Amino acid sequence: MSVVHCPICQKRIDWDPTPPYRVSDNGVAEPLVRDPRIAEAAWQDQLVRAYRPCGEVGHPGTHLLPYDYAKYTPVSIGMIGHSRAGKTHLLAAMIYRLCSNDPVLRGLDLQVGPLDLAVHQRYVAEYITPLIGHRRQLGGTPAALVEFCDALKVTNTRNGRSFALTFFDLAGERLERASDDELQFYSSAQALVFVVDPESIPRRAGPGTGGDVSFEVALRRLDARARPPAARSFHPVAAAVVVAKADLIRFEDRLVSDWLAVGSAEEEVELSTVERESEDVYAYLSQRGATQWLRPAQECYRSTLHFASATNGPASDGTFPGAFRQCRVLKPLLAVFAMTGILDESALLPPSEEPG
Amino acid sequence: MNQIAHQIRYCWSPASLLGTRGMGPVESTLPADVLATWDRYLRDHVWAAGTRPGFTFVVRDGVGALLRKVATAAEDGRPGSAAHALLSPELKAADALGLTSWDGWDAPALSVLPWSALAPAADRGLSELRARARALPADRLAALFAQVLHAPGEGFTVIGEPDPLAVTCALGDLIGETPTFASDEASDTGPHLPTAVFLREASFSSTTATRRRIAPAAPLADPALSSFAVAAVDAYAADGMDGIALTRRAKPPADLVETREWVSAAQFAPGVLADVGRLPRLSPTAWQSLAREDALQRVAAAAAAASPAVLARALDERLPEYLLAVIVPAAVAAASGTPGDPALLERLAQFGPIPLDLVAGSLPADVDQLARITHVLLTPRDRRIVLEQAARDLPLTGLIDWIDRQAPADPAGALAMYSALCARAGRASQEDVEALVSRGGLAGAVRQFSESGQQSSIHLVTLLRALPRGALDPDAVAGLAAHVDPVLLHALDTIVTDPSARADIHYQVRLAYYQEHLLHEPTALLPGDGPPGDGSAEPQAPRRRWHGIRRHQPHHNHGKPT
Repeated sequence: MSVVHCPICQKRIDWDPTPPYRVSDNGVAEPLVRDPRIAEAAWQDQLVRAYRPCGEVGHPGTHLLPYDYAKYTPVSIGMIGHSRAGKTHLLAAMIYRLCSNDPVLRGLDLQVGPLDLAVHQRYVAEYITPLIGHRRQLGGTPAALVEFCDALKVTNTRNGRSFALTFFDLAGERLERASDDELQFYSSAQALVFVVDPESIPRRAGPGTGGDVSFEVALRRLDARARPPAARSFHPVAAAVVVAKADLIRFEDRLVSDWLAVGSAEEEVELSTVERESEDVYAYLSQRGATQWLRPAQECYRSTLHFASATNGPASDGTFPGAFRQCRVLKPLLAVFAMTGILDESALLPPSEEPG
Repeated sequence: MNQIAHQIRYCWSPASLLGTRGMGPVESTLPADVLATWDRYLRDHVWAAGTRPGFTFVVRDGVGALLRKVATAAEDGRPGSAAHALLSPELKAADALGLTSWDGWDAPALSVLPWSALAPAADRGLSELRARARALPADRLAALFAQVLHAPGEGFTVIGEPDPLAVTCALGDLIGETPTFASDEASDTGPHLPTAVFLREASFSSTTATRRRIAPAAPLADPALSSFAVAAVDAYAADGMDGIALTRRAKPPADLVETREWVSAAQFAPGVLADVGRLPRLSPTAWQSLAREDALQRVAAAAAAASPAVLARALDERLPEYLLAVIVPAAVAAASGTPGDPALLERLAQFGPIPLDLVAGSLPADVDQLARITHVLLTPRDRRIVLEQAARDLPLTGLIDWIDRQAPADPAGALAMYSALCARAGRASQEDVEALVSRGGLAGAVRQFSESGQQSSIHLVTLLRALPRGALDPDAVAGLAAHVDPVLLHALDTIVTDPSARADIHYQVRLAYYQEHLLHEPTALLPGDGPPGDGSAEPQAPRRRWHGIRRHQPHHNHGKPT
């Protein structure tokens, strides 16, 4: 692949002629020039940690992509939801589970590892370790910077295809801005995870409320994308609508309680239940008049709906108490994988509909 | 908004004043429409990077905005941020630095504040901060300053600085303008950042850093900038703003070209600030670096432009002679000005006597000043040379007046001028002679610088003899004799040959004698008795044409001023 687009700013990059750069200890990009005395293996080792810029280094708004980014099929996944919907905790729990090397994942024939080692290490240090290791509540996401928060390389060993995953977790207040030139990932993201804050939706059936402004902004901006002829009435993006913090509503509705109760590792990788879960989530939101929150499921070409809890309970004084665990956080991500071709899409079919 | 300051408070809210969810304005003294505009400017600056308060100062549309942001725990315990902003057109970067220690942050209720209520706090805070800035490790600060100098118009980021506010203050003081700043940020890759940004650590970002990263440990590629930075920081640490006042620019340099011009102009030699007042504080090594013609020319030029106070500081016995040789003339010139500077002259006197060739070109033209300066600084011999030289340019009437006026207080100076007068007396005009006559032939002045009456007489004879032939006509002699001064009469008696004139002289001699001994004149000499007509040696009493002339009491304090 000789031409790619930056997943952050969508600038076109003529990939092969773009020279490698390294990032120095003080965070500044410098040209990486091969020392003719070093061996090929050492040079390749340097390239693994190298980057290619999407523009002229030193100019504002130029981004660094992993040197081998273009070798893989790019998949950008964006988290959508208003401030404190639970995006950051959910994504940290998702990535933690995805990178956990849990034996059950081997059944999916997925190999997962960092694509950008520096970015991934930063993400682990700032999000996964505090949340999972120290059970600390994560801070709000600052609104200033637009870039992907983690980049993973995912290989489907069954078909040998590798994907360059980039995750965008931006501040909710930023996602609500009607006009934000820096937010470009709407135009290229393969999947959006719409995070529903259960504390914001109506508590009983009735007329729908205003919904989540960030959902509206995302769907409006998706309007600009070209739609395939076969699906002109839908946005060409995979949407996973996740009722996050589901632990807060598990005692209000048996449906939620039941789904959280079956959140074992084995069940999480069983994608054939996704459709049934989607129906239940749809029904749950509909019954509460949360029809605005259903728009992504209704308007996106591929969509699934989920209950999930990143912490299995609310925080107390900034930490999560004893029942802390991750419930059903991986399933929405795996559903996205299936909807974007990382996994076989047929995995989402209920058992009775599996191709014979 | 003039003369007042508005306030905005930011924190997480499900519904801010602007109706948004998330981090937004929850309390404000601004009108709603103005608040929306300012929110667009400020919302990217309101997130705290850590637990200690961070400060960000930006300027938009001529209005300064200072934010104080702190990490918080919301009601549900989730870590977040809160920010408090002050906005005012009066708020400049230096004020903002001072207001970082304002005690009104996090006040329970916000109100519009008169700037007059904030200005004292800003001044006080800046003063305290400047004291901290001067105590910063000089080598670290110099390294940072040198790097800022390399591209003075560009923003920069400092990583891991323990006291960002003090460094901002110091860099602003040193370069001539306090920069806009952000004292504690997590990233410096975003847009709209202020000039100086401080990061706790170099964090990785997928967005390339476009700002310069400067660090105390970074190698300095430019020795010229480095040596200047070291010298400037040393001066700043030692004397604060006074230490760099003479070398500081009114405006910071815009680019490297201007920086180099400044660095060159602000140093006598590499590492030596162009401030003569600081020369005594330098090391002998630094003094040695000035022992070059070009450096000494710069010192001389700076000294010529320096104030008397600076020059007084510069005069130090420890300075090598080659430096004193360029400073002293400038100090003499400054001390010779109008009005002169007594403190500087007093300081100069401690270096006296000063060789004439060192100060010859710096002496004042005004004779009074010249006499005063030379009296303090020169040897009597040199002084006489200088004064005689100066006297050549004076009109004789002025010279006569000066001698008559100054002799009591400055007999040596008067003697020098008198010598010049004698030398020029051959060209005296009638007017000059009349001036001389009216001052009693300067007999009183001559007595001030003479050791005895005999010597006074000799001086007077010298002058009177030097007058043009015929200048001492009978009227002139009578006028002089009427002063009844014994030494003058003696001198006249020595040189006047005209019998009639001599009769007048002798008459006055007699009168002087009687007056000296409290005797009345003999009756025969009284008016109306007629002169002796026997042709004896006694002269006729002259007609009293000069009775109106005041008669001086004769003097007998030969020599010194009374």
